[in-house]
Amino acid sequence: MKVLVIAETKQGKVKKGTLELLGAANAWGAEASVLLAGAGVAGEVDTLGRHGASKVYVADDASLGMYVTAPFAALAVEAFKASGADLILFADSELGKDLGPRVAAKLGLPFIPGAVSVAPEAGKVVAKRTSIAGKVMETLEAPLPAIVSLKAGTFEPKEVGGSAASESLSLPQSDLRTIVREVLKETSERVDLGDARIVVAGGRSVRGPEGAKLIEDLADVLGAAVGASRAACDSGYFPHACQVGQTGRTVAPDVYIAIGISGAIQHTAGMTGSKVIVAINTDPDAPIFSIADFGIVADLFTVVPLLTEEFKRLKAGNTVAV
Amino acid sequence: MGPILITLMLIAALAAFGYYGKDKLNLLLRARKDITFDNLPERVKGLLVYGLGQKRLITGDPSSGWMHALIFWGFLILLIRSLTLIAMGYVEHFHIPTFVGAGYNILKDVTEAVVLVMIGYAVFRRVVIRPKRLENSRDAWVVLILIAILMVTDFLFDGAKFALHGGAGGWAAAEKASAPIGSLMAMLFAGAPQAFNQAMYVGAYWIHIATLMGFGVFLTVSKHMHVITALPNVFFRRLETSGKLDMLNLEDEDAEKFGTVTIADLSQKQILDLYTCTECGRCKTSCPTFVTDKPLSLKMLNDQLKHHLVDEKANLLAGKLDELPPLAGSIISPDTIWACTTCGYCEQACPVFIDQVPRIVEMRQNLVMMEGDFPQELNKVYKGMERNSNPWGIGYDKREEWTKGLEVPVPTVAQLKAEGKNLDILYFVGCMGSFDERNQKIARALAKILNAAGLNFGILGKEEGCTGDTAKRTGNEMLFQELAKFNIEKFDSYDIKTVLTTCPHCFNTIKNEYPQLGGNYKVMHHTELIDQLIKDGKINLTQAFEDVIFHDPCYLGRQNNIYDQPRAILDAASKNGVMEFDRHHQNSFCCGAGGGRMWMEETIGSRINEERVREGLEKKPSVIASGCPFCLVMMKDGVAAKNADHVRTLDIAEIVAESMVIPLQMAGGNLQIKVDNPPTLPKTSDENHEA
Repeated sequence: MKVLVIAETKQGKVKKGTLELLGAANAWGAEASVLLAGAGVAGEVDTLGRHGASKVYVADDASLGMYVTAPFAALAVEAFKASGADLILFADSELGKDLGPRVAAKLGLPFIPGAVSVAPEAGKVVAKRTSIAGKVMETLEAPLPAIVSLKAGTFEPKEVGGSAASESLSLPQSDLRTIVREVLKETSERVDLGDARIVVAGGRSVRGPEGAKLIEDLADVLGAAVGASRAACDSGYFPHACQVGQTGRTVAPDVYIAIGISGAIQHTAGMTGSKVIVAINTDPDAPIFSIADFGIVADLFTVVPLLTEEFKRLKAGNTVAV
Repeated sequence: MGPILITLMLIAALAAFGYYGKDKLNLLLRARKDITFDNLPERVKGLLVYGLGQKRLITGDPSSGWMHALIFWGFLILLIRSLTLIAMGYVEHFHIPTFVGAGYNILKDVTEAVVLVMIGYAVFRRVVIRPKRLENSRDAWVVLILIAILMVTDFLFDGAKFALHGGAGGWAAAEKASAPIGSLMAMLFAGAPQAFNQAMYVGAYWIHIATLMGFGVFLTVSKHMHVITALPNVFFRRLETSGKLDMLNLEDEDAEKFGTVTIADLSQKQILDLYTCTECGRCKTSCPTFVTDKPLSLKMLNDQLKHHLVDEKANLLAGKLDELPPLAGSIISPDTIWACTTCGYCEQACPVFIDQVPRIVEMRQNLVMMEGDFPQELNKVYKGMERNSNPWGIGYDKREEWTKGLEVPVPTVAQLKAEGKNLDILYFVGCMGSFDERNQKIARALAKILNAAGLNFGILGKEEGCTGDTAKRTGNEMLFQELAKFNIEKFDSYDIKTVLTTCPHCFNTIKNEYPQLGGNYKVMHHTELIDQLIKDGKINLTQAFEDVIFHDPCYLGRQNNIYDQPRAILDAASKNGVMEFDRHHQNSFCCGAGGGRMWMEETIGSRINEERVREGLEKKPSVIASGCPFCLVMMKDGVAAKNADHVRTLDIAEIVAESMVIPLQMAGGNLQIKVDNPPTLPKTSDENHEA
């Protein structure tokens, strides 16, 4: 069994998702090779080796500093041919979502995206993934060779203390039809809404910049992202980038703290996937309480500063004042 | 007066008319044919009432309406005068003989005076009143001046003629006797030298004739082409409201594109619409998007399309359709196309029945189905509808959760069938009533009412799907037809005859658009049913409310002509009867959620719902009542934004449920209701729109 892992890097370092894929290959006792493409990434061969890669195909070039579909797809095809792999693994990331289908199409291989468990069997691969908005689990199988992308956290990365041979791949110049010059990010100190494990969201009841500040303070102490209802964004209390809901962002953090949000469906449509929902609202009949795991019926101007203080105290290592 | 000259002038005018008119006619003839003579009596009636009768002009804006009507009728009367004047070109002494001529002379003089006064009023409007719907327009001034010249020169001509030849024994004496203003003018000219009167007589005549010819030619190159096309446009009007959009044939294997891409895709009626628009701007006075500063002015849209049509005439007539630019983006901004709430205000306000909504939806169809270019918020909506048959994408299996914990359980049609029980009505709950916590309360209130009235009703539960209204009106016809076929199949599998909805959008779609896909049912909105139940004495209301104002949902009122039933219900439930917004009935102002706008961000201009709530709050209501889940959400949001939380926003079903006198045997709650005499189902309002 030979597995080819498509590595992802960020600022020259291999991402955790890639190491998880190597963890999968190790768990199956498969021979793992890696495609490592990027700018200034050659130093990561050792890391990959330590995590169980036996061979690394390196394409290290300034032009690969930012992800562009065409050359990465060409390199993946080349690495597949060179490695003779039975299975290509992608992380189910933005890169995996973009590149996976292209590589599958170029090679004419079956592709199972977004698997949450995967097991190679004789001549085939069997993978499971959720479907119909998480309601059912479907089991799919594909004959080898095949391509699978894995959800983050499906396997654990594990250091096995090996080392990898490296081989340079030449750069497919002709495919460089797109050149990314710059990636502009909205600079924010805070965590991005989509990545955040905790979201603190405010509604219209924050009533102004002072109220919005309370939400932001709580978010900062929790290391959380700030979300908001449409009404709060329209009123100018929060930037529109913060909007969660049907017409805004859809988030699914571990904890979603809805403050002064009544829980109209247009808002909850963007956050019901959250693992734990905490609601703070003065109206005990607010629909938000029907989906919340924990609820506080109180004025946000009273309770939010208290929460912020308590979390500060907790983080400083002090015991909770009751 | 000059047979050769008048012949030359007639030839020149006809040649110019033909030269300028020919292209426009050819552009019309080459377009997709959709002009039809079906339902001839209705068309003739419309021509008489709205065309010759000028009904919409007068009811829509009485002062300018009467002005226009008087000028229009005046022109019809003066057509005969124009013909006699031309005849005088050949036979100077020509006049209509006998008392007919005398009578006509009086009529003509009065008419010309009235028209002249109306022209004066028109100038006054444009200079002093300046209504917001009018932009300054060169064409308008040219026409006002031409008409004024026509009236004045005719008076001058008559005056000089009668001064010269109207004396005792003169050949025009009889004519003079029957022309009141002409003889007044003659008195004025009486003292003038003969040579002056002779010059006036000849000069006024030829200026009049030249102006008349010029006027005719000017029609073909200006917005005043409506003088020629308005009556045909009224005659060939769409007989349905835009609540009933046409179905797109998706099975057509030869179709290379869907929707409107370029100007070449407009139909004949749509081109006639463009020719007919006079830019009066009645379409925008209560247009929710125009009033809140969005880049959609329907008359401008007509204007842009018309100019583009004329600009591209070479390509169009040469069949070089590939050279034409797509409308969206290059001629019409996408923001314009997506701003429309499809409320239909513009269409009912237009005196000459110009269609707007179908054209906008056809442009959306192209953007959605061919280009995949639409507001990103719709991505989630389409996906939700595709996978779970609701716009939020909530699990379809949660559709009947609103029935949990009800005192009297609501059965599904499947349960009733399994138990062999009767079904009077299918209550089609809709996505809002099924999933939205706020609207679930309305569904529960309606269930309570139906139980109190002893009706055998059921729901489809998990087997219900989205009707597809949003998909249809945002141009995703493919998705709409899929959703519609799913529901029709379900209805038919349970042999459903009568469908009741709480959502006017569901109501409209099932009633007007499902028949095109083979689904024919009796469809009722809950306000129709409740009104009938009250009239039949099946439910009794106390006047538990006060100061209730009613907001007309567009898809109930304008699009389906249901105005009276909701008001009758509220009258019964309120101490002081129903209150009205300033803009109500046909003139009602949309909440901003129709046409798929419910699911899109409103980032341009001010918010439509806040404008509507502002208007309502002026009346100091305690409750804003509606009969539409979308309107309700918009009103609720608007009330919150205006910090007017003391005003309740309620659906009519909730008001009825709160006002209902519960019969004693119901008080226990769990009793099964038995009614020996089940109520007869009311008739639906199938009357023609604006009958």
